[in-house]
Amino acid sequence: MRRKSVCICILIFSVLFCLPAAAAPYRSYTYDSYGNAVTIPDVYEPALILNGQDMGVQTMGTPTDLFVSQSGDIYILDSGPGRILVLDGNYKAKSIIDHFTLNGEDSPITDASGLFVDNQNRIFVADTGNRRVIRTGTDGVITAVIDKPESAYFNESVEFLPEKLVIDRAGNLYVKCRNIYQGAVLFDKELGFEGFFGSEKVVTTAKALSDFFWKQFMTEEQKDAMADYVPTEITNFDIADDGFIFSISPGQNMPWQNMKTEMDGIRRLNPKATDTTVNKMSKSAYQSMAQDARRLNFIDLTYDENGFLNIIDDQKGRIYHFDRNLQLIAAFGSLGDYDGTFLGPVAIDMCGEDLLVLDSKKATVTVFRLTDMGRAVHQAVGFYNQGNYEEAIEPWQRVLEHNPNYELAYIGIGSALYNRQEHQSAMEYFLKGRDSERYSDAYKEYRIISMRSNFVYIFAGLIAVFAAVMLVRYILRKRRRGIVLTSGLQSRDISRYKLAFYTVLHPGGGFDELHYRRKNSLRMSILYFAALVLMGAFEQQFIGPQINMRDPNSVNLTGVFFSRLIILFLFVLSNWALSALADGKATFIDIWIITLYSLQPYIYCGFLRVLVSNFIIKEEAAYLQFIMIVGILWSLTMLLSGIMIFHEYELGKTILSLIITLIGMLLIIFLVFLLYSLFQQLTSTIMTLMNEISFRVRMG
Amino acid sequence: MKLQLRLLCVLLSGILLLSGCSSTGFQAKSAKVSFPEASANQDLNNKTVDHFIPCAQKGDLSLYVKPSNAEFYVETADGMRWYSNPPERGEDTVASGTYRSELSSQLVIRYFNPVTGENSSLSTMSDSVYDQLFEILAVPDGFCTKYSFRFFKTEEGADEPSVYEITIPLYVYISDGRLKAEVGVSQIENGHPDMFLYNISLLPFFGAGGSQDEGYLMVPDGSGALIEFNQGRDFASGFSRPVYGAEPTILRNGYDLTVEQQDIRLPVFGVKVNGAAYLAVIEEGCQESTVNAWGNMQVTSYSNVYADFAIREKMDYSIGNVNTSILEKGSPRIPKIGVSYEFLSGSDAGYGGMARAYREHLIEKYTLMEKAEPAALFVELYAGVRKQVSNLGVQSDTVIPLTDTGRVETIANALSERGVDNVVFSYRSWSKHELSGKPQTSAAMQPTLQSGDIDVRRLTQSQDFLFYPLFSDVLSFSNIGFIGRNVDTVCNLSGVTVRPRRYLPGLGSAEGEVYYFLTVGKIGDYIRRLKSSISNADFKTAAFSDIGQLLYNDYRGDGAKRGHTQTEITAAMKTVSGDLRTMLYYPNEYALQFASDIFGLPSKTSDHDIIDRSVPFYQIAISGLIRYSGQPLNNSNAGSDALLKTIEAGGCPAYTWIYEPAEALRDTGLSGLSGCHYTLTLDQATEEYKAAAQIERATGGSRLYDHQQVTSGVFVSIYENGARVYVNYTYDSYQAADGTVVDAKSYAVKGGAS
Repeated sequence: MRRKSVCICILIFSVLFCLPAAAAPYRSYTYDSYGNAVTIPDVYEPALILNGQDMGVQTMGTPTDLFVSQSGDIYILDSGPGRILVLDGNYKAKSIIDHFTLNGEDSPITDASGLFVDNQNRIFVADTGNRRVIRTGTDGVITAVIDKPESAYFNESVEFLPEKLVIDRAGNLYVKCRNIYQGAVLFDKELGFEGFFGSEKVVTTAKALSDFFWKQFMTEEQKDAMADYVPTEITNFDIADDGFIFSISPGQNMPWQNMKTEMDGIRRLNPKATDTTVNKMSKSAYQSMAQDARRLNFIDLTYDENGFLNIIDDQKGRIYHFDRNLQLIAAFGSLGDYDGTFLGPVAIDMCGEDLLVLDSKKATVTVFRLTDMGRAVHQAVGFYNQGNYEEAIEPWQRVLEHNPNYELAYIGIGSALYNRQEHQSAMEYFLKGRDSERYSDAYKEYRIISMRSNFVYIFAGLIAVFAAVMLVRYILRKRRRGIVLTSGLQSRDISRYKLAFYTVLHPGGGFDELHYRRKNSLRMSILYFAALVLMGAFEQQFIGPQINMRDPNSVNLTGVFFSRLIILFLFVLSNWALSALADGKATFIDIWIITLYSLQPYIYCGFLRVLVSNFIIKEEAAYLQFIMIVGILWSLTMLLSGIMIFHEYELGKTILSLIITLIGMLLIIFLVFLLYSLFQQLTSTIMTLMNEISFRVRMG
Repeated sequence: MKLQLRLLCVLLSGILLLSGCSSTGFQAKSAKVSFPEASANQDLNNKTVDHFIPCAQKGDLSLYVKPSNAEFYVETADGMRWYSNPPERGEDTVASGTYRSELSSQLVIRYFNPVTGENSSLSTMSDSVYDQLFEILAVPDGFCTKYSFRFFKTEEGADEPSVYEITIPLYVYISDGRLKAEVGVSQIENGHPDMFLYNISLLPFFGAGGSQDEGYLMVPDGSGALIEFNQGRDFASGFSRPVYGAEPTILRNGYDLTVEQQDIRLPVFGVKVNGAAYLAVIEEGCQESTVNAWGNMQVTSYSNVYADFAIREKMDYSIGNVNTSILEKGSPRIPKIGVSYEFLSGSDAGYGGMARAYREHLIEKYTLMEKAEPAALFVELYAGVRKQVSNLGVQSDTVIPLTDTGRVETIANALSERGVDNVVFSYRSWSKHELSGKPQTSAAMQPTLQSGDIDVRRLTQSQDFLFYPLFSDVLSFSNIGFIGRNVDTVCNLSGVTVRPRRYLPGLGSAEGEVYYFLTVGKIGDYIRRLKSSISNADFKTAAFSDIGQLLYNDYRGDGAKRGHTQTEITAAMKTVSGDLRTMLYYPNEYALQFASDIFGLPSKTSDHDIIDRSVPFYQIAISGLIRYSGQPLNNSNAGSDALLKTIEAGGCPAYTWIYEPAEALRDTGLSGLSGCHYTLTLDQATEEYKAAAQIERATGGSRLYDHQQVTSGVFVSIYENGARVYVNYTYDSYQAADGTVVDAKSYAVKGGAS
C-alpha cells in the first residue's frame, strides 16, 4: 500500500454535502488544548428575530445600542430617528420614547451611540452628536445633562464625545469617549467629574524602546509617520454583579513583537482599575484563538448573572462565549443573510437566559436561546466553578454522551473523582481532558498510595535487580580472560562494536584506540543516529503526561529525522571545514563518527529521562533536567576528547575550535538560506514564464 | 548520463503538458433544439398600437400583447390577468436607476467586455424598446419579440464609429395548457466582437405582487419557502440561490463557511397573488439557472421572483489589486433557456396546488409510479471513521469501527424488540475506497468493519430490514493518483485542475484536505466499474449521495456544462440502479426517477432573512411516489422543533447512529456528530416511529395532499383521504375548528376516511 511520508490528514468531510439542516445555519465550535478548532453542539440557537414592526414602529432607523435593565425591560437606542424603543421581558412592544424635553424645550438626541438604565429605571444616553450625556425618564423628560467636564485634561482641543456608558452599584458613571486614551471618564453619583478609569498600559517592548530611541533624532514629519505608543482606547465595557468591570480594547497589531490581539484586550478591572483577568485557557488554545482573533474586531460584551461572558465581533459576526475564567465554552455566529446571522452587529446583552444581539444593518434584534446542551453545559460549569464537583458530574456526562469534544467535561469529572479520592480514575479523565497539571496532582496522590501498597514488591524487585547485576558481573569477569576493563586497555581483541560502547566510560582510551588502530565503525554510528531519532520520537510519544501533554498522534518521525540529521551534518561539516584551516587531522567520516559516539550519553539519558518522567510529578521536573544535564555534559566531555585526539589539538585549541565550529554552523545556515532564496526566485521566474506561455497558447 | 538527462526533460515536459488542461474551446454537444417557427405579422409589429391586442387563445389561456413596447399578459379562465410587467409600475416610488428600467423590461442581460473591462447590464426596455429597436413576429399560439441592441465603437484609424448589433429572440406562447417563455440563446446574433453576454434574466417581473396585493412568492429553498408580500423588510438582501447548488469548481474565497445553506434541488418557483397563483418550472437551462426573489420595498415596491441563466461561465479573480474576469469563449453552450408557467385558481391557488401541479409534471416527465410504502424508521449508521495515528513517529491511518456489520444486527434486534417493525438502514463510511478517500469504484468492504461472516451482501438481502450501503464519494474524492489527478479530474475555465479544500471549523477557512471532482468524460466509466463491482458483490440495494446532488462545469478536453454533466450522470445512474433498489440522499429533481427511498429531506428552509416560513413543497410533490424521511433528529443542530417539523412534513423519522459511545469519535473527522450513540435516542426513536405509524393508520397510507397555516404557529397537513394532522409550535394549547385539540408543542391527528 502506498504510504505518503507527509502526514495525510484525511477528514471525512463528505458530510459537507449531506449535513442535516441546522436550526442555526452555522456550527458552533471551540478550541481544544492542542489548539484545534472542534465542532460542538450548539449552546445557543436563534429563537426569534424582532424587527421594527415588533417594536411598534415601521422599521428601526439606525439602532446603535441595546440594554436590558434590572427590571427586565429591553431598551433599544435608535439613533437615526433619535428615539428609544422599549420592549418588555416577553419581547412585546412596551413604549417608544421619541420626544425629549429639557426644561420644557425640545432637546432631541442626535447620533446617540450608547445607553444605560440604572436600577431606578433612569435612562442615561450618550448623546454623541450633541456632545453630552443626558439622564432621562421614560417620559422623555431630561433630568440631568453632563457636558464636557471643566478640567485640565479637557482642554480646547479635546472634544467630549461620549459613546458608551456603564454605571456601577455605587452609582458612579463610567463613560467611554472617543479619542480619549486615559481610560473611561469617571463621574460620581452626583455626576461630578472624578477623573479617569482603567487605561490600558503601553507594553514596553523592544521595538517600543528602539522607536523611542530613534524618535529622539527624528524630524516632526518622520515622527508623525511612525506609530504612536499611546494606550488604546476602550472599545466597550460591561459591569458584572460583583462590581467588576469587564472591558474590551482593540488589539494592537504591530508586527515583530508580542502579537497583541483582540484576546489580550479583554480585561476584568477591579475598582482600582487593576486588571484582574483570570485566564485559565490552555496555551495552545489561547494561541489559536488569538491567531483567529486577529481577523476579528470585538465591539461589545455582556456578562451574565451566571458568570458567563459573551463577546461579539463585527468582522465575522462571531460571538465568543466564555466562562468566568476565560475558558472558551463555544464560539458561534456568523455574518450572513440568514436568521441567526448578522450583517452589522453592534450590541449584545442578556435578557434573563436569552442572549440578544442588535444588528444595525438588518435593523433587527436576534434572540438566542439556550439549547438543552447549552443548559447542561451551563449547569455543569456553574457547579464546577463553585466547587460543587459532585453535582457537576451528571450534566458533564450528559454533555459527553453527546459529543466528545468538550475538554472541560473531562476535567470536571476528573476533578470530582479526585475529590472523591479515586485518583486513578481521576488521572484517566485528566488525560482525556489533556490537563497536565491536574494529571500531575492526581498522579502524586496515586503514586503515594500505589507505592505504599506495593512497597514490598518494589523492594523485592530492587533487591532482585541488584543481585542479578552482581551475578552478571561475576560471570562476565570469570569468562573474560585477560581483558582489563580499566582505562589504558591493551587488548587487541576488543571488537569495533564493543569499542563503541567502551568509549562512553573511557573516552580518552577509547578514542585513542579508534584513532590509532583505525577501529571506527560507521555502522555503529548509524545505529546511534537511529537511536537518536528514535529517542526524539520516543520522547514525544511516551513522555509522562504530567510533564508534557502532547498529542501522541501528531508525532512525526520525518520531522525528527531531518532536524537531527541537519544539525549533525552542519556540525560535522563546519568542524571539518575548520579543520582544514586549523591543521586538524580527522576526516569527515571520522568527525561524524566521533560526534555520534559522543552522543551516546545524551541518548541514554534521553531514554532514561522519558522513563523517569512517567514516575514523577510536575514539581519534580528538576530531576529530568538533571538527567539531561548529566547527559549533555558527559557528551561534551566525550566530544572534547574525541576532537582532541583525532585532530590532534591541545585542549585549549579544542575548545576554541568547538566555538568556531558553532559560528561556522550559523554561517553555513546563512549561506544556505541565501542560495535557497536565490533558487526560489529563479524557479518562480521560470514558472511564471511557463505559465504565461502556456496561457497564451491556450487562449490565443 | 546525457541520454538520461534528455529522457528526464522529455518526461518533465510531458508531465507539464498533461497537467495543463487543453481546453481547445469545445464543441457544443447538445441535443437538437427546435424553436417555434416565426412569421411576420403586421398587427403585432405595429409600434403605433399603444394598447393590448389579442395574440393567441388556446384552452383556458388567452395571450395579449402590446405592440408599442412588447409587454404582454395572459388571462386565465377565471379572469385573472398575469402581466409581464406590473401595469401600475408608474406609481412605484422605490425603484431607481436600473431597477426602474427592469420593471418595464422582459429580459435583463448582463455582459462583459474584456477589452474595456466593462461589466454591465442591458434591459430590454431602456436599451432596445425605448429606441424602437425590436420586432414582434407571430409564432403558433404566441409571439416572438426580437430585441436588438446597438453599440457604437470607433475602430482605430476610423473617423466614424461603426455600429454593432446584438439580437436576442424571446418566444412567448401557449403550449399544453401552460405559458412558455423561452429565449433562443443559440439564435442570438452577436455582431459585436468584444461584447460577451453571460447572464440573462427571464421575465423578472412576471406576476409581481404590489404593495396593495396579498400573497406570497414560493421559492424551493430547502423543503420550500414562502416570502410574503409587504413584510417591510427593506433592509434584507434579496434571495438568490443557484438551482442544483452553486458551481463548486469556482472557489468562493473569503467565504465564511461556518454558515451552511440549503441548496435548491427543484427547478421551480411560484407566486400567489390575491387568490390566483402560478407554478413556474424552469424547463430549459435549469442547470445554469438561479432563482431570485425580492420583497416589496427592497429594490422596487413589488415582490417578484424569477430565474436568471448563466449562458456563459464567468470566473472572477484578482491578482494583487487588479480584479478581472475570465469568460468562457466560443458560442454559449446552452441553446435555449425557458420557463413554463402553469396557472392555478380556486383551492389550487396556493403552494399546495403548486406542489400538486409539480407532482403531475414529475410523474409525466420521469414516468414515476404511484406507490404507497409503509412508514419506517430511517437510521443512518456510520460504519467506521478514519483516524490518523502515529506509532513512534510513523504516521499511519487506521479505521476505527463505529458500527460494524455485527452491530448492525444488534441495533436491528434492539429496535424490533421495541416494536419497531419497519427499519430502513443506510450504511455510511463502510467501503474501503471511501475510507481511504479514493473515488468510489468498488464495493469492497473495509475488512476491519466486518464482523464474522456477516457481510454487507448478507445485510442487503436481509428480510428483517431494508439495508442500503451508501456509496458517497463517486463524483468527488481526495485520494487519486498522480496520473488520475491530471487526467480524470475537472478543470476550470483557466485550464487548471480544480482543487478546492475542505472547510475547517473555527474561522471556517478552506484549509482542510484537498479534493477533486471527477471529469465528466469519465463519469460513465467510473460508474460502470462501480456497477460491476456491486453486481459481483451481489448487493440488492445501494444508496448514493453525491450522484444525486452534485453538478459542475468541466473544461477538460471537450468539456461539459452542468447540463451535460446531468445527462452523463443520469445515463450512468440508469445503468446502476436498473436492478438495484436505490436510496438517494436529498436528491435533485433529475435523480428522483431512480429513488425508491429518499433520506434526509429537509423539513425547513435555510431561513434566509426574507423568508417568512417553510412549507412542505418538496414533500407534497413526491408524497405517494417515493418514500422519504426527514433529516436526522438527533444530530446536534436539528433544533428543538425538529420532530414536529418532520411530522408536519409527513416524512419518516430519521436518526444518525453509531454503536460505539461518542468518545470513539474524538480526534476524528466525525467528532462534530452529536448525540449519535444509539442508546441515547433509542427510546425517542421508538416513540417517533409509533407516532409515524399512528399517522399512517389515520391517513390510510394516502399521500400528503395539502398544507395550511391555521393560525400563527399552528399548521395542518391534509392527506388525500381527508385525514388532518395538526402541529402546534406555540406554548399554548389550541382547538381547531373541527374540534381537534392540539397541545402546546405537540401534534394531533384527526382520522379521515379509510
